[in-house]
Amino acid sequence: MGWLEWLAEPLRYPFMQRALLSALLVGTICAITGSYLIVRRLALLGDAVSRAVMPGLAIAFIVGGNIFVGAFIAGVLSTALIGYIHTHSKIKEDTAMGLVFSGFFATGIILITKIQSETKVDLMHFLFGNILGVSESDLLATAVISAAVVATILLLFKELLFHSFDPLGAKAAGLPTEALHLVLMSLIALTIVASMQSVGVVLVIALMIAPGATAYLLTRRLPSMMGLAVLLGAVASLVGLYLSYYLDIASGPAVVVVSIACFVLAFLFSPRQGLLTRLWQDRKAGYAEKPAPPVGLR
Amino acid sequence: MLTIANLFVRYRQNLALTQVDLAVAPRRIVGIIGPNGAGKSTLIKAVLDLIPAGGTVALDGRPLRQQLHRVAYVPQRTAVDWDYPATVADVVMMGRCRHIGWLRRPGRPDREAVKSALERVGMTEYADCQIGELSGGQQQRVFLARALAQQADWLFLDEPFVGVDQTTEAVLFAIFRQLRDEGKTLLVVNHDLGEAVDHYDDILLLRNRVVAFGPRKDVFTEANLAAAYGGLPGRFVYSGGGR
Repeated sequence: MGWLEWLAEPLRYPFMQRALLSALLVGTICAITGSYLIVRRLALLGDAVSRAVMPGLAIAFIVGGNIFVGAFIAGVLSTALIGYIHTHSKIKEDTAMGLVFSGFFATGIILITKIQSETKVDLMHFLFGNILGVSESDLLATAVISAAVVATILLLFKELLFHSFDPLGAKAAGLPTEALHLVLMSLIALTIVASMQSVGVVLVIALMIAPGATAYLLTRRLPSMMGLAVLLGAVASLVGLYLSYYLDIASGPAVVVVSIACFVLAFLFSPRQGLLTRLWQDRKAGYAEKPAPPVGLR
Repeated sequence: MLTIANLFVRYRQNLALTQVDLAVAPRRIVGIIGPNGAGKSTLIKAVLDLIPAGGTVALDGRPLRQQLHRVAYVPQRTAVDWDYPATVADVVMMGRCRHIGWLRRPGRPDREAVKSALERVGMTEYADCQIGELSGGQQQRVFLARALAQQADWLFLDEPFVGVDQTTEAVLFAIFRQLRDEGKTLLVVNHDLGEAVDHYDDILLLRNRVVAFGPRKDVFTEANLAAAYGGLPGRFVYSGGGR
């Protein structure tokens, strides 16, 4: 089988076409919003929000509402609650996150397992995603959400840049920092909602931070970091999906493993910060006998 | 004229600042001096409405919070993550954010303002450097350049001399004097009573309330210094709140 045939073969199936498109969209927006998580040190919050959408999903099912809307509301609500707990008590943010996300997650699981028998909801699909089951309307919803996320970031780019670098300075300059924070949290929740179907809530955090973290090691400015992250996210989504097709492995985890593999390569070989790059440079410079310097993290 | 009336800041159970009444005249370099925990940084954060505070702050008779475009704030250097993926020029351009306006991109005047701000602090050749590659003094100059790019009349600087080299300190004071001569006013939190205090026109001596405020030589009396620093072991931390 030639490589063209190898590439074309899965595309004979409409469900694979939808899966690929969906994976590309999700890979793109996860990489963009995930870059903000990295520079604002909010990766754990992203993880917390991804679990916290569960009860919103379940309640939307019960009342017959839109599951995307339900999940979005639960996601934003969880960030507000985390903020409220840590500003109104001496509980620190990480503890507040742990409490809120596990509370929401547990409630979500209880609700979904309760309604699982009557409706045709499958808990596993939400936890781990089911990209091969993406319907036309799911794909459309993902496309609309992705367009909204990308448009918002393009329009507010300079304000979000200022706010994410120096929140206090941005506030002093008169930017509405609370509103910008809410926008960022909403974008994160929307990204997670759009990604549920393809990767599931458990692993979505990897799609958000792995491409961004890889790009962070290789670039010097936020726009280039995001651009490279999008490229890496899209490539990982495609490669992961093909691997899943040909090796018959779960698609979400396949995408995640490819993403993380890219990070490991950058970590070892990044021109400026790579672990092995530094060893190599030291050896060339004649310091081979000295113990290796502390790992290339700053 | 910056008028502060009955300003107070409560932190948990303590009053970090209380009964602050001040009238700061323009065209001065004001040093805010006092022991650790005296509320120096708290004062400028409260004035700029960055933290909850009681009392009123007015600039030329109108509430300051309605005219934030007239002020520029330089946070402590340690307040931000210098590994952030941004170049020196990116950070200085942030100072143009409000001038550019919503949904717009930087134009020629913005790029000019960034260029001249960088020239002024002597950082032109570093414009494309990633900010993490700079020394502490260079980072502080970038922060000042950002404030300059805002083209504000009133500048508030929080501990700009912490961890900076002698050259940068001299450069910063030279720029402060130029700015004052151009009609701007600078309020500068200074971390200790070093030789640097000689560069200020006015001194605000603080210990959770205003101990003294006025021209340098009037403020530095033994009685005032005793009131501000008295009962403290050397330059040691005073961490409680004043009553």
